[in-house]
Amino acid sequence: MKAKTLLSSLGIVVLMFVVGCKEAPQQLLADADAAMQAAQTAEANRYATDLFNAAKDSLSAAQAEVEQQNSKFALLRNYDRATALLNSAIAAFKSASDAAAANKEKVRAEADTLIAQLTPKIEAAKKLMAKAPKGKEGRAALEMIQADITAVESGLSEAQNAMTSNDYLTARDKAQAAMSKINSVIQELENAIGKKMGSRS
Amino acid sequence: MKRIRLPQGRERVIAGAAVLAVLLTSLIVCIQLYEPAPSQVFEEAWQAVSEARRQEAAQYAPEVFRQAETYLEQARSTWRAENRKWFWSRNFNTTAQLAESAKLCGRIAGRLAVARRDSLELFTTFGIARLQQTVEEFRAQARRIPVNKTLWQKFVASELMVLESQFAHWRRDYLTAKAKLEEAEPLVNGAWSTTKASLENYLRQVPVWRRWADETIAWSAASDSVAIVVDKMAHKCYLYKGGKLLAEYPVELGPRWLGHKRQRGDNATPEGRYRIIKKKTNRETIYYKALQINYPNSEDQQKFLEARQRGELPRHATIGGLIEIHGHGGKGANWTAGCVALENAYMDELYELTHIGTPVTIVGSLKGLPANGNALH
Repeated sequence: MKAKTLLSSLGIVVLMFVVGCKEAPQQLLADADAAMQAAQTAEANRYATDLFNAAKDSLSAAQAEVEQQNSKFALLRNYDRATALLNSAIAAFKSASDAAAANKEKVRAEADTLIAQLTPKIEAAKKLMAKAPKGKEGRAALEMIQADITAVESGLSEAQNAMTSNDYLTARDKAQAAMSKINSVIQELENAIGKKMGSRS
Repeated sequence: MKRIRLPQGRERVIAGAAVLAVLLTSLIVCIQLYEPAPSQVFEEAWQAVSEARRQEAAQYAPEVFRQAETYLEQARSTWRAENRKWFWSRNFNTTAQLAESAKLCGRIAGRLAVARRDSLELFTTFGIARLQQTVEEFRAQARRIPVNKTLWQKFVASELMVLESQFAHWRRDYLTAKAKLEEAEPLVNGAWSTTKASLENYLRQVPVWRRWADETIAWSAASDSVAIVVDKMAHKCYLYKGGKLLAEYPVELGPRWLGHKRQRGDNATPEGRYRIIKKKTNRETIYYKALQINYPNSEDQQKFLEARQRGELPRHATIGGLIEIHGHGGKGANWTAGCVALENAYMDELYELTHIGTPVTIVGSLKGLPANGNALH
């Protein structure tokens, strides 16, 4: 009986060794790396910077935790925290990817709207040019305004090129600049026409 | 054959306990022999790198930040490599050193990024404001003085760059804002300084022009006669009688009025002291009424010949002529081929008050260039 108890104790010790030698969560580590790559491809570092940075922090913490556990004696390893951190990092990268996609789409839509609005605005400015007073400093001013309109058309073309190369932030900046300029041109022309109408009445 | 006698009863228990004790002792010894992992320094290192990333070190201190990331990655891989070894042969010194380096570089990168970003924010804030002011000043000037067309087109394009820089600044992308600003700055300043330099060069003759105008007015006073002074920069025609200003009229000139007339077809209005040599009306002129002056006078002819001898003018160039003060003005532009145009109503007045021989002094400007370069305000 006592021999059986002794053998059982030895068996338990051996079992502890076997069960205690837990494996590092390799698959989760690979999944986290893949999630980070996906987030980078989605330009999360540009369009969802804070979320991307937080996700990278989670991954760094998880990797450190894994190595810390790997450094321990096999029986004392515990990857529960590392697993939780890796799961959280994967979720964070996914959130960053989703947010980046949403933000990118938002910026793309804004740039797209601005670009779509620019063409009719340029046309409107050209029509106003035809109505604008030519006398009393008018012609010289109109020549300058024509140069402004040409520059806006060139800005629009640059914005369209940036859209084609999927650089939506640059496209939006360029479109906003062109829109700001064409609005001031239209305002200037409307003021000049308004003054002309006022002087006639 | 002799059989081995297995321990019995109490002996068996003692032997088992001994084996267990040995195992447990080995376990404790093993744990004690384990090299402590560099967890603390590694955590500090990745936190420093993480903080640097939050401070946008990847953009604002890229070299140092990349170095910090490299050290951190090397620390991680050496740690992993050591973990694969048997516990008694592990050595985490290199990992700890690399982690320390990563921590140091991370901290430097973070501080550098904050400093550079703050400095760039200031730089772009003031840079955009300064450039916008220059743009406004130049626009105001360009309404009054002729600006080279190519220069103007470059200027307008650079104006859009300033706006782009501003939008990048508003979304806190100071690097893009700076890049756009640096692209626009030489174009805006170049257009402004080129125009200002040619204006300053032109206005160096102001003392001479003032003397001409004063002498003309003095002659008008002395002879109690009518005299005309045309100020090209002011776009004004002043009519004096008995040395006193009788009237002033807005005028339009040739599109290249900034500078002396050098040859036929240059669309410039000459500067000099002339006299009315012919009064034209009805079918004599297509510009309502006209007062023809004696351009080119002897001084103009001498200048023309000298310029041609110096090779500044083509050999086939001619000096031109038929410069008039005439009607059909009020178009709002400098449109003549070098003549001085007045609105017809003003032309009527001028035509009535002048006669053959009336002095007409045409000057570039009667005012100098103020310290701020704003000649026309």
